[in-house]
Amino acid sequence: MNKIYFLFFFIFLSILSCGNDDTPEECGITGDLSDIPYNPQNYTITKPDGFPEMFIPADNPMTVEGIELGRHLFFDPILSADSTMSCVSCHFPSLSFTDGVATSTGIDGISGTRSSMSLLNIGYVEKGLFWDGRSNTLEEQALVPIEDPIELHDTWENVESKLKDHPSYPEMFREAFGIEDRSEITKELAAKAMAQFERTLISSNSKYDKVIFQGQAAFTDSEDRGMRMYTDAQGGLPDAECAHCHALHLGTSDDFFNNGLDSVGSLTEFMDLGLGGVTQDTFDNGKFRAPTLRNIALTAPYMHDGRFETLEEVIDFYNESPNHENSSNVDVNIRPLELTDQQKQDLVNFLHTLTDTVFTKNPAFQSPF
Amino acid sequence: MKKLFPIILFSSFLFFQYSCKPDPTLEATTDVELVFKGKYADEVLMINTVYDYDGSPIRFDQFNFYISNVVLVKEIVGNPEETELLEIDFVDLSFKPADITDATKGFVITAPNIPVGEYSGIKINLGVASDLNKTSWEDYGTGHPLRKPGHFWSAWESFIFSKTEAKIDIDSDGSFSHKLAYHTGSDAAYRTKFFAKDITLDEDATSSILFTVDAKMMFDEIDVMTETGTHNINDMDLVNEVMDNLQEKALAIE
Ligand code: HEC
Ligand code: HEC
Repeated sequence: MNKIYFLFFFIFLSILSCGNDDTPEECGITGDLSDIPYNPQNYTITKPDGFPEMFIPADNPMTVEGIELGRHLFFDPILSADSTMSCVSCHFPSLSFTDGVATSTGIDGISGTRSSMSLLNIGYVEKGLFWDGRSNTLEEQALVPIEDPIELHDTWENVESKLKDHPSYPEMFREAFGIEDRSEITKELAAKAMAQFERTLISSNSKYDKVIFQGQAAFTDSEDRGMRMYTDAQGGLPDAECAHCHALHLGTSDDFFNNGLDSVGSLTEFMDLGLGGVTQDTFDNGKFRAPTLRNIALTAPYMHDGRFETLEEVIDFYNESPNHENSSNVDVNIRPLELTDQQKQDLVNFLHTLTDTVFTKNPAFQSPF
Repeated sequence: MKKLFPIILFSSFLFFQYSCKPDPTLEATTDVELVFKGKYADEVLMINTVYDYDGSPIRFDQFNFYISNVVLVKEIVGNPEETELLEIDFVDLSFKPADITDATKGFVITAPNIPVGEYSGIKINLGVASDLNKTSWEDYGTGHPLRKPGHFWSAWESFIFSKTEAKIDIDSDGSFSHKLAYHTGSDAAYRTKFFAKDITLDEDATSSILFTVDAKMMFDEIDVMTETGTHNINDMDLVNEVMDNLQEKALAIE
């Protein structure tokens, strides 16, 4: 009987012993980083008006140190095989974290088939990242570009060893995640830090926000007409149906649609299968994420393959919706809109009210180097 | 060793205290499953599946609706007593053909810890109750049924109570070009449906209450050739017709 009590007691002791508050010595582990203080400061996201609460995974709470590490990694070419490129090579802050070209080119000069995406308000995306939704979380996503042959084309093993040997990263990993030894630097921690940084990329200072929430500006008549058409609010104006898929205030309904870009003979003929390539459901072929339209004026060219140069071209496309009857999964809300030239201009003008340069110029989002 | 005993006893007490918490109330409860089976006339409803609409092929893209304040009713001689099953939930019958097993089983919502006993009916409200309809999708956390940016319409200042989206191949030429987008919303579209039915909840078994929702009935007595959509504020007549159809013809209890 006594033995059983002892057993309980030792289990109890072992649960208590290696707690977070203990020094490594008490836990019997020593390492080369344990002298560096580990006091991460919580970082709380201030919820802008009209925005939802951002979902933060329980295993990756935001800290000032984690975000700072993430920012360094995001801007550091140490992540690429030949140290020439980093995330910022295709996600420039000034272009709302896109790269201004139709399809992005990686370190080997190979061009991908898809256009870079704006990382603005990326923390609010819940239904899958990328144009086709294939990545579930920012933590999972950040692992991808490193090894992608048409992006940074390195191996994580190599990147991990570069980070371990680096003069300052081990200390930053210690401060962010409390590791005891540089050998504990992993790709998962690097991805967590980048995800923390990305969750801070919030844009809520556009003219739209000033008009709708802050009462500090007013729409011009044209912008106002544009917004009413965008949201199908009537008042003698035609419906432009945009808000079904690009719902306000975030400018996206966080969902996947076929907006009728391509004329195809059958659902298997799309050049890029989009969501269907991920779900393996033919009816998802040709569906892509309806991205946020915040800062859309800064992120040309447009669509997953960058086929449209200007917003005017985009509106012309929706106005005509030439393929609305063509493939069987074109969304029900895609149809010719019959807008006049003035109405098309009104829509473009409204889209410009979603521009937020406070965001693109935010010092916290620029290179730390 | 003796000194350790109280510590061990106390810690095991703490352990048990936190590990299993018996329900302090003595009232017996059970879980109630609300099962919604989508159908199209007599067939199991799935999206991307062809059915017959008055001689023309029809195919659905989505079919879903909100339910609010679902209560079990107990008639205590002229004085009905209500037991809440749920405040708000979203019934999504847009099953894909690959998920035919789930489609056949139906969309299941579980209401936990409902007092056992005899009830005489169930009340379901269709749409989002006006107090919640004053809020917006952004007010809810991830996973909440109201956190659906695609089911809120700012111009209406309302959640979209139901979406019935389908396409008809009018001339049977293989092109499903006639599109129907029936979206409903606003307080005026809220409907209450009461089913009188003896429902007995036993302590030992999960009880299921089975409903069927016939998507074909959503179009009943509506001219789908001319009425193709309801997404603007001036379409309230059509919104009302669609919600009446959901309330009176599409939704039934088994
Ligand atoms: C070579 C250019 C390139 C580099 C380098 C690059 N990206 Fe991207 N990024 C893209 C492209 C192109 C897409 C869209 C790809 C797709 O949908 O398949 C994208 C998509 C994303 C998305 C998804 C956005 C959304 O809205 O779903 C995130 C997040 C992202 N990148 C973060 C990063 C991070 C973090 C790094 C560095 C580790 C990085 N990117 C490096 C080109 C690049
Ligand atoms: C049926 C849903 C739907 C409707 C309605 C819709 N869009 Fe889109 N939109 C999308 C999808 C999906 C994409 C991405 C398509 C792709 O790249 O394949 C997109 C892309 C865009 C883009 C390019 C985004 C980028 O980052 O490159 C712009 C701009 C845009 N839409 C504006 C509008 C406007 C303005 C309207 C109203 C006139 C509108 N959309 C209506 C679904 C929709």
